[in-house]
Formats: sequence, structure tokens, C-alpha cells
Amino acid sequence: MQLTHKSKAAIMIGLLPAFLIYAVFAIYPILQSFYYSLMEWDGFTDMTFVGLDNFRNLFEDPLFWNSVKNNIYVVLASVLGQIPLALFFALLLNRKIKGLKFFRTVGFLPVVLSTVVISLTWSLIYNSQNGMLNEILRNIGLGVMAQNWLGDTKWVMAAVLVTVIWQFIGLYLIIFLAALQNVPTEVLEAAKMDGASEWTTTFKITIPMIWHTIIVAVILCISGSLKTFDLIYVMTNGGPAHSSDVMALYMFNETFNKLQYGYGSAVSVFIFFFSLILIFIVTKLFGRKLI
Amino acid sequence: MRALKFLFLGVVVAFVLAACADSEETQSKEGVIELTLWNDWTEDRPENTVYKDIIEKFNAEHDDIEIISESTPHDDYEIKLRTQAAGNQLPDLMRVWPGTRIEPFVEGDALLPLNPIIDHWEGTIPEEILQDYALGENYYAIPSNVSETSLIFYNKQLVSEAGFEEFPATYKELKELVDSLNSDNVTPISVGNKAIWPLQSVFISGIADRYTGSDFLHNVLNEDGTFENEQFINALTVIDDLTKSGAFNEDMNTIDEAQSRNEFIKGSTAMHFAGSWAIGPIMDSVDDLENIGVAPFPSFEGGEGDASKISGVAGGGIAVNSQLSEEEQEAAFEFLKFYYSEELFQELVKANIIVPADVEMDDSIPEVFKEANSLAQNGLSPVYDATLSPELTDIINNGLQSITIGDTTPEELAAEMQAELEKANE
Amino acid sequence: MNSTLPIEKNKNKQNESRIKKRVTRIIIYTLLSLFALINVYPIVWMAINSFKSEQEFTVNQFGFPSKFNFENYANAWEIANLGVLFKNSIFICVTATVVTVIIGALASYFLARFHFKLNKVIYTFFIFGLLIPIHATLVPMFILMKNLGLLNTEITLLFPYIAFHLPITIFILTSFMRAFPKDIEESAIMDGAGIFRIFWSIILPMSRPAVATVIILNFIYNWNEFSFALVLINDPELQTLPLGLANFAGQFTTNYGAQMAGLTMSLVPIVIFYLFLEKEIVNGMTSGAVKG
Repeated sequence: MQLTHKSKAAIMIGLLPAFLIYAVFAIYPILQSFYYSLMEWDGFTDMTFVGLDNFRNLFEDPLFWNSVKNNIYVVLASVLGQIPLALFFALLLNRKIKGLKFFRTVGFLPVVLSTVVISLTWSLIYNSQNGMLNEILRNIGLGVMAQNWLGDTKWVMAAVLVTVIWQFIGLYLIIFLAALQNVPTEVLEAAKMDGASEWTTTFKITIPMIWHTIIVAVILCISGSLKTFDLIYVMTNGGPAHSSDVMALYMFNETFNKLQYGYGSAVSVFIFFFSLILIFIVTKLFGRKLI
Repeated sequence: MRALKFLFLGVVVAFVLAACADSEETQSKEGVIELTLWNDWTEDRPENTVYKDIIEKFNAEHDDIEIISESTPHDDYEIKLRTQAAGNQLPDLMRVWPGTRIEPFVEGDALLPLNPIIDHWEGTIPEEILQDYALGENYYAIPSNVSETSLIFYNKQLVSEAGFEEFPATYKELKELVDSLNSDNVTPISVGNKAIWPLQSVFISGIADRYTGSDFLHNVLNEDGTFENEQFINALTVIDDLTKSGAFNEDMNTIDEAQSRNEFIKGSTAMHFAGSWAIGPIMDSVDDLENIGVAPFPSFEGGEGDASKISGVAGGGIAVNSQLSEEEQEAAFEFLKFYYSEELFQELVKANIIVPADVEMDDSIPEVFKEANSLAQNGLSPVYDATLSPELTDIINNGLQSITIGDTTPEELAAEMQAELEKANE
Repeated sequence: MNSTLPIEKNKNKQNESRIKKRVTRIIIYTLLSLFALINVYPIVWMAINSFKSEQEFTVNQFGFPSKFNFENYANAWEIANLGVLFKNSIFICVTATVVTVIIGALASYFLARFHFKLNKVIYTFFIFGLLIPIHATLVPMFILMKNLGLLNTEITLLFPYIAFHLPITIFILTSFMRAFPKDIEESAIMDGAGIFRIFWSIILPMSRPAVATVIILNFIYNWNEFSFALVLINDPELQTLPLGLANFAGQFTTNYGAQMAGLTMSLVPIVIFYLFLEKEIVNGMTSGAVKG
């Protein structure tokens, strides 16, 4: 662009405020945490340097790998559940239909709702004795499928994942709605004139045009899922018997309940680089020049 | 874009407002020692009101000292306190929990020993209970209450309908009661183990003591004995046994302690195993007070423990920051002497809190409370999570939950605990 | 006869397509209604239980309250000091959101529309922020704020909130702004507009749907943020809503009625805020954002 040469100063001015505040209040603390990961520290007495010991212990802990495994389920469920569902509803809500505004607003509500309420209500749905889900199954004659959803190590992750997917559909919904506004209606109308069906226009025109946004959403989804904490913390606290533990929860417990700041920081370092690798793979596979 | 401009305007207004609010800030008064007291008294419960009232009274009677109370919700209190400790920024006074939970504070020299004033409570609070807040030679806080952790609350009507006029005194009879209730389609015991501590703190603290005796835990932690002891495994097996005989509600691992208490209050379960903290909430909500009974844990055949003991631990202690100036220390001591007084104990009893001192009880005190209170008189046995390290507590908590879902066996759990202990002692 | 056939056929076809349309419509509405039902249920549950006394909540968590008990609202307002909490939350949220979006949008503009040597590096540097697990930074953040003398003030929370939400803001805005055709600025330059002028009167208005999206996201994150507020603020007069609403939960008991009343009240402003901005998202291009 022709602007480039004369605009060095402008670029500096434009980037500086964001850069400064971000570097000081986000990057510096996380670097500090990286530094702690090489230390043994209980937060009360002085820290001692232990090299890579924390990482060695971390990689030897089966409970940690268990949390990694569960976390990968969260990533898969979010990417394969939230994104397609959000896209589906965004496409539905991008049409001119009655009650549009109501559905659009309602679709977003779970995102603003307090985790406490979400956890309470979904726990009531999943309750094995008088929960709505089991009641419905029994009433339609599928009583054998009734489960102790949150109390059974085999089912708890599945149950939690449904709630996790549900909670954040709205977030991607509005991101997609925003992107759909950029798809020129003329193009779609022209295609319709040529006799293209709605399926064709959706898959051949609309989706390719917002593909970039879909990748953005996938990246947000991956990074968000790998940090997921709040809902699982309130809903199951990783239980029963660690069967719904995820990385951030594992880190939180090691740090604040067992007072191992160094060890907890080692987990955060792992989360950081693990996300980085996953995102790198995704952008290499689907997206051009995103990062 | 109009929205954005509106927002921008909003910020400007907000800043101006904030700036105005600033100038109203009152300067701290000359010559007054201000001490900040951190606690978890956020909820509107009678005992919290008692604590706050005494502080208010202290402030009113002392012109030269001002106690400022700052409350944080219980579940987040320790996170805040520990973060603050890591930043070397602890408050002047803080509510602390006994046993292993004050150890890191003491190791980091964060707390001031209360030895100079400990004699003040001689004759009021028994030495045995003061010891809960002591490490080595030093005392770090004064208890205001005693948490009995192993009580059985029962619904008299449901129990008698199951054919028991007296509450079972042995485990064998308790099992018969469970079977009888099950055949009547009444859930025998409501448990809310979602937060994973109840099975350990309430059940094992009580049951294991009956089997192993009260010195066992202390001895094992000092490498005299092992968790793989037969009696300890017997105690863990009771959890397995009760689960298999259908003694617990099916959703025990997905509801929390308060929810399970509600099931009992509603009358849909015959028993609720909990600590003395449940007395108040049960008294508050239950329809018919007369219908609620309280009993100690039963005796277990072959057990080596004293069946008249109850597991319990001191609570409500307030510790003093070691970095206070001499003047502030004096003020803090004065406050503690005022706070842990006959009056506090009197008022707490009225709020259904068991206290470590002898208090006269008139007829207004409910029977259940008097009964629970008398159980503490035969001596307290250790509470597991107040004695074990956080790592061991984590293992036993999760292990007990695993036993209830058939993922682990008592033997495996005992072995896992022993392995962790040996690793820590290395 | 022969000549009528095509018309008949056509009619059939029309009928068929009309039926098809109706069926599609029914399917669409069924799906949307189901979706709406699960989304509304928690809110209805919350609102209903906000009218129950503690005793009633104990025995009845599903049905309607036997009598509508407005005490919870009064209690929640007084005990939790909600007036002050609302004021603080609104101030923090609005300020943090506006600052984040303005400096974020400005940075995105340069990252999306200009070629310069460190562009990729700086962009990647910002994206790293998406990967930071918040609980890992609580202790370092506390120590940093302490050293800067920024603990426990009116503006304390602004710093972490702005810093931690710049990444998602820049990520979304940059990707949106990159999609604009290249010749947009060129014509503006012809007209003699400066760099910042182009940003303010062309790029920013064109990004309206994305800007509205990030405003909403920022506002929600800030409105519900708990951990930083917990460790960085002590003074009850400076606390924000999520912290105050947690106060209803004790160690062994929770006053659900009051908590639900508090949560219901705290939901109102954010829903209004969302409704206010939702228009911006969906009306973006169609209403001719280029005009600004």
C-alpha cells in the first residue's frame, strides 16, 4: 500500500497503547508464571530452583494425563459441536422469518448467564433420581437408558460436554451472524435467479465467503476449550474420582489446594504450548496466513 | 457507530463520578490503630451476626482501636488468602483453620505466636482444644467453636416405622435398620459427596476411630504404623459395605452436602450423617423439631477404639500477622481477649454452635443441640482432613468416592495412601 | 387437452413447492423452538426460585412458589450492597470495554491494512494472549499490581481486564478488516484523507458488526469476571457484582432465594445491553455502513 512509507510514525502510535498495556498486564504475568515453573514454591517460604523437576513430575502423573485426555474431548466436542450448530442456527436466523429477533436474543442468552445458574439447572436435569432427562427416558419407554449422568465415570464427560457445547453456541452464533452481514445479497440473489437451490447457494457461496470467520471461530474455540474451567469447576469439580478433570482444573487444585505454585505453573506452561501446537496445526490445515 | 459514541460518553461521565467520589474519602483518624480482619462471614447466618456484633461492640468501646472486618465467600477465602500470602501482603488479623491448614503459614513465619496471652483462657478453654491451633510450643489462634464431624441425624418417625424404637448402637443393628428402610422404600442415609470431603471428614473420621483408636493417625504420620493396617482397611470397607447395601441415595456423588441435608429435612430420607454445622440449618428448616434425633456413630465389632468418643476439631480461630508493629500487636491482643469471651460463647450456643467452653444452657436450647454438645464431653478424636497433608486428603477423598462407584478397593486406597506418605517422608 | 397439460404440471409444481416450503418452515420453527426452550429454561428456573423463601427452596425446587416472595430482592439488595456493586460493575465494564475496543480496533487497523516489517510478529504476539490460562496469572498479577501500588483502587481491575481481552478483540477485528477489498483506502487517499481519518470514518464504520460483537464479548467477560476481582480488590466499596453475589454461599449453607434474586437483577442490564447492540450486528451492511 502506498501509505506504508509515510506511515511508520502512525503505525507506532496506533499500536503502542494496545501493545504496552498488553505486554505489562498480560505477557509479564504469564512470563513470571513460566519462571515459577522452574521453582519449588509454596507461596509462604522462599522459592528454590529445581530446574525441570516440575515438568518431570507432571509428565509422570497419570492424573495429569487423564486431565489432558478429558480436555481433548472438550476441544473435539466444542469444535465439532459448537461450530456446526452455531453455523446452522446462524444461517437459519439470517433469513427473514417471523420471530427472528426473539430467537436471536434467546440463542445468545446462555453466554451471559451465570455459571452458577447453569450448573444448578443442568445438574437438576441430569439428576439420576428425579432429573428431567431420566424422567423423559422413562416416560417414553426408554427407562433402560436412564443413567446416573454426573455420578458415573463413564457418562460424566458426555453429560458435561453437552452442557459445555450448549453454553457457548451463542458466542459463535453472533460471530457468524456478524460475518454473514458481509455476504452481499446481490450475489445470492443472482445465484437464485440462475436456479441454484438454497443448499447450493449455502454451500457454494455463503460458507466459502465466511470460511475465514469459521477458522477464526475454530481457533477461539480451541484456545477457549483448553482453558475451560468455570463450568466444570462448579458442576462436577472434576469428579467423580477425577473422571471429568481438565487441565485448568488440575492446575488450579495443584496451585491453590496443594500450594504448589511451581508445579501449577508448569501445567500452565504446558497448556500454553499445547494450544499453540493445536492452533498451528489447524491453521496449516485449513487457513491461509492466519498466524 | 452511535452506540460506540454513547459508550464513550458513558465513560467520561463515569470517570467524573469516580473522581467526585474520591474526594469524599475519609482520612484515617489520628492516633487510632486500624486493624483489618479477614473472614468468611458473608452469609446471613446467626453465628456470623454474633461475630460481627462483638466486633462492633469492641469498636464502640475502644476509641483508640478500630477493627475493620472484610468478608470473602468461604469457597474463595483461602484462594485469596494464599495469593495474598504469596505476595507477602497478609491482613493484620485473619480467620484460619487448625491443624495442617495453618502449617504453611507457620513455616513461612507469617503468624504471631499468642503465647504471651494464652493464660487468659486458662480454665475457660481446655488445653486439649487449644492444642488444635498450636504447632510445636506455640499457639497461633484461639478457638471459638468445636466442629464435631461425625453425627447421625435421624428422623424418629421413619426409624421407628422401620421397627427401631431406640437408635442402633452397633453397626450390625444399623445395617438391619438400613435393610428394613430399604424394604420400606425409604432412602436410609442421605449423603452429598459432590465436594468429596463428606465421606472422609464425616464418615471415615468417625468410623476409622472406632476401628483403630485415636492414636493411630498420629502414629502412622510419624512412621509408626501403616495405612495398610487391617483395622484401617476395615474402616474403609464400611463405605463399600454401606454403598453395596443401598444405604445411600443414588445421586450421592452429584449433589452437595446442603442438598443432601435438604432431602433429610424434607423427610425423604431417614438419616443424615453430618457434623455439628448441620444442627442450625436443620433446626431452622425442619417442620417438627421433636421428630429429629441425633446419635453418635455406632460401635463396630472388633474395633479397638473408644466408642464414646466423637471426631472433632476446633474452629473459628483468628490469627495475627507476624509483621505487626509492637503497638499493633498490643491492640490485636486486646481485641482477641475481648472477642473470645464468655459473651461470645453464650451467644454462639444460642446460634446452635458448639463451643469449647462450659456454658449454662437454659430451656430455650433445643434437645438436639444439648445432646450433640454432650457427645463432645468424652473427648475428641482427630478429624482426617485436619490432620492429613493436602496431598493425602486429596487421595483419600477421591479414593472413597472411587470406592462408592466401584473403581477402587479399600486395600488399593490404603496402599495408595501409604505410598504417598512414604514419598512425602523421603 | 394437450395445451392445458403444461399449466396443470406447473400448478402441481407450484403446489409441491408450496407444500415443501411449508414443511421446511415447520421444521425450522420446531428446531428453533426447541433451541429456545432449552435456552430459556435456566432463566425461568432462576426467576421462579428467586421468589421462594429458603424453606420453600429446600422442599420445592421445581414448581412455582406458593406465594411470590419479594423479600429476597429487598434482602439481596441490602445485604449484598447491590447498589454499590452495580455502580462499580458498570463503571469497570463500560470503561474497560470502551478502552479495549478503541485501542484494539486501532491496532487491528494497522495490523490488517498495512504492510510493515514486524506486522506478523506483533500480530502473533497478541494472539498468544488467547492461550493464557487465567488462574496461572493470579499470583504474578497480584504481585505486579502490588509493586505498582495499584491494589484496591477504583481503576485496579481495568488493567487486567483490558490486557486480557485485547487478544480476542484484535483477533476478531483484524480478521474482519482484512476481508475488505484493497481499493477502499485508495479512493480515500485520493480525496486527501489521512491515516487516522480513514480509520475513523471508513474502516471503523465498515467493521460495525465485528465491533459490536467484540463490544458484547468484552462487556460480558468483564461483567462476569471473578478471579481477578477476588484477589485484587479488598474494599467492599470497590467490589464488583460477581463477588458480591457469591456472598450468599456459605461454607455449609447457601441462601439460594437471595442468590437467585441477585443473579436475576444482575442479568437485566447485560440483556438490555445485548439487545441494544444486537441491532448493530445484524443490520451492519444492509443499512449501508459505508456511509458511516
